[in-house]
Amino acid sequence: MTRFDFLYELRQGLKDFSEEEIMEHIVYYREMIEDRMEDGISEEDALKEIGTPEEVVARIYAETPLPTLIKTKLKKERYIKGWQIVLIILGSPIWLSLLIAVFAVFISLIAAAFAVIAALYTAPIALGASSIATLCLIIPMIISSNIPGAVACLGLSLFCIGASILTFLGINLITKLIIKLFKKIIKAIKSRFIRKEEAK
Amino acid sequence: MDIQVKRGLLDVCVLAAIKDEPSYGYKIIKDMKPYVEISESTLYPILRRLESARCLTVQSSEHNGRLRKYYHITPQGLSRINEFKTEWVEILSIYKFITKEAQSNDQI
Repeated sequence: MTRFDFLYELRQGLKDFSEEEIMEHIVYYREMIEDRMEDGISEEDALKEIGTPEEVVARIYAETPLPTLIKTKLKKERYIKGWQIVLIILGSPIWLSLLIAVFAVFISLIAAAFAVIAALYTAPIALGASSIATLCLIIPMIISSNIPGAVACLGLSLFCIGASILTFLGINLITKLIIKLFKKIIKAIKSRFIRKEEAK
Repeated sequence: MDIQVKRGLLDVCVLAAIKDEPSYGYKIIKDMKPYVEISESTLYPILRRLESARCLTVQSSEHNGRLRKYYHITPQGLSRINEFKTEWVEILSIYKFITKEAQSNDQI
């Protein structure tokens, strides 16, 4: 490692500081290293005496008063936000349409899931309705003294009710599975975002 | 040593190191070394603090084809050293009291 590598790493480590302060530290440490070298110490040993760039950065942070640290950080962040806003505005035709597309896909997925659930429930509802209809048919059949017909209708009605209840239970199970699946998908999306935040 | 006490003492040490003639960072550290060892990262905030308190001024001069910062003491810096000398008489008497009391306690 040469002194220039050291100073480069020092600069990288002090990114939160203002350019003026970074330059002051670099000028200071460069002078310290070069004065040591002039004193007959090798570049390598001079750097060893001063410590690694990480150590020096840590000590600079420790020696900087907290209010100054916060101020410099805020200044830097505001600066970054400035050009970020410009990028966001310039990129809006791209990201806005993409965002709308993603949102639309998501909404349509939810709608599709609900449609499937609703369609499935039509089966027990239809069966229930037909059981009531066949039950109603018994009355005119009794009036016209069509006993076998009335018995057949009663049987059909009972079968429809049974089938309705059975399909209803089955579909309830399927619905629960679909909702579970959706929760899993949302969780997966969420965890991906959280991981991204951490990576930053 | 207590950080606050040490910081105050080191400020005066640095001023004493540049009292007779202007000096530069590495020389200040070398001159202080037999008495108290400080690193460049400790010296840096001290120099900044003394500069903003107008106890010293900074002048860059050319040395072997590069710039070197020389620290010059100001009248304020000199009076700070004198202040310390009078304070020290007081601190010394406190020290004497502490050691005397500690000793008499040891004997009991």
